[in-house]
Amino acid sequence: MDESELSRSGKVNPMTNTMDAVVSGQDSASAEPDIVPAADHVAFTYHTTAGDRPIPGDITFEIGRGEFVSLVGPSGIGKTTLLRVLSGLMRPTAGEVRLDGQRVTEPPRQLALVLQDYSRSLLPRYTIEKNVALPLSAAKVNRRDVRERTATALAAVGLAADVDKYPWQLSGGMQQRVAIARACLPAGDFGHGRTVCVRRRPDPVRPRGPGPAPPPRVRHDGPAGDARH
Amino acid sequence: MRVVQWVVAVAGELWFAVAVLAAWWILSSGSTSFYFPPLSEIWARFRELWLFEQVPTDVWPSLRNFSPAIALSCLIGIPLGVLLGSLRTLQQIVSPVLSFGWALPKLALLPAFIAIAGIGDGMKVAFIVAGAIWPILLGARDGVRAVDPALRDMARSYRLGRAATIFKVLLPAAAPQIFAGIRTSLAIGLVLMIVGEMLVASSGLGYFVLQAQQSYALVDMWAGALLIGLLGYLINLLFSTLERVVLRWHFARRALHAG
Ligand SMILES: Nc1ncnc2c1ncn2[C@@H]1O[C@H](COP(=O)(O)OP(=O)(O)OP(=O)(O)O)[C@@H](O)[C@H]1O
Ligand SMILES: [Mg+2]
Repeated sequence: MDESELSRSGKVNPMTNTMDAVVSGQDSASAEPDIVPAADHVAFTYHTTAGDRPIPGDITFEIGRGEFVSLVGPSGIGKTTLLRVLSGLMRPTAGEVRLDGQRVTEPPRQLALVLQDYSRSLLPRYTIEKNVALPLSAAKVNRRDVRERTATALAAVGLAADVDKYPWQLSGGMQQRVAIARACLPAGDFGHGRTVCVRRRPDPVRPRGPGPAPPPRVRHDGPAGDARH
Repeated sequence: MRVVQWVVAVAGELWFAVAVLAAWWILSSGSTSFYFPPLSEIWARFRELWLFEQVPTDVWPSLRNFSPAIALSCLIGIPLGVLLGSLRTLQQIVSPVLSFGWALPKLALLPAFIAIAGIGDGMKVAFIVAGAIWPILLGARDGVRAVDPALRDMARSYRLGRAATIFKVLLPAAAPQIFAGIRTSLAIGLVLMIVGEMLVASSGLGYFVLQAQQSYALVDMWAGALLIGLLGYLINLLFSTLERVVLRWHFARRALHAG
């Protein structure tokens, strides 16, 4: 997706309601590496009082420049979990997550995350303009830039007319677009951003046979602009 | 138009209080009881005393202890509560102490306060703080603990930094509970202020009321009690207004969900 297409169609959200996404943008200052996010035998186990809950999978992949990758699997399989691990919010219990060759231990600057419960990630006290601007303001970007880039991002997701509304005054889909605009901003440009998006398997719930659950599949879909579901 | 709305709102709020006062006025008008003088007499005395002759000697000293005590309770209680709410281990360690401090009847501490800090204004302020700080502290702690994990993830994944996370994410999210805590603190603080003045003071409203009773000036006593009641009501009203302004977003959102 290039920027012009974004602003033309307002189609930043080809995903359905239940979606998480990691947007990773190129850091314009740095050299251009070929591989950005990578997982190396990643596994994760939730430790709870009720016992351990391992997420199926021993996941290894690399995502190349311009690739649009979907993570597909039934509900409750561990897609959100994997994404939280990939984005540095949680440490993998085994294996390693890397970004540009660096081990990820905290959420890296070049990544942005739009989790499934995007509406809960918006601040009710702020207008959507301030919500989108928040990461930039916190990064001490100068005010004029913040305002301009915020306006561009909100226009790109078709919310130019709603900048002064509060998140709770918007529909679910609009809130999702606010979260996406916010995620795209710090990365800077939409054109070279990398997106990992997760959605529920589109087909209806299918009862699973006995035996261990299959791990989520990672699907490489080629250049982002061509990806359509 | 807004003025009319406002008048209607105030009337809606006050009609019952006015009715109670009117009933008191009428029922007590022929009273010859020493203990229950007619309201008309109390009111006459009220005007003599509090509009505004005795204000500098009795009302002002009370407020001079009360206001800084509440301010101090907020200044200490909110940061401490936020800290406790953010650090789970620290909170687990000190939480028994907190529960104890909250449950302990503060009046039991008054003799200790007098022994340690004397009977000056500093002691009275400290005594009010000792009682009023808890609801604020616990409100801030619980408010921060209840912040939506999705918001915490957001703050972390966008690397907002500590200051922005506290001031833009945690505090606003905890604000409704902090305000609820302050409201309770105001009520507790008022009680402790009056009691403190009754027991150790030579000025202030508590002192005035007790003195009046002990010198059989029951009309004065009632006038003093009336003023204390009104003061409490006014403080609450003021605070509600502040709350409505500061938490406008919160009330607007809640009204929306209430349908
Ligand atoms: N905090 C947690 N503690 C313990 N178990 C958890 C926790 N969060 C999720 N799980 C479990 O981990 C599994 C994977 O959860 P996850 O949220 O990653 O699923 P998902 O693939 O994103 O599902 P969906 O498509 O419904 O969003 C689920 O079975 C869930 O019950
Ligand atoms: Mg999920």
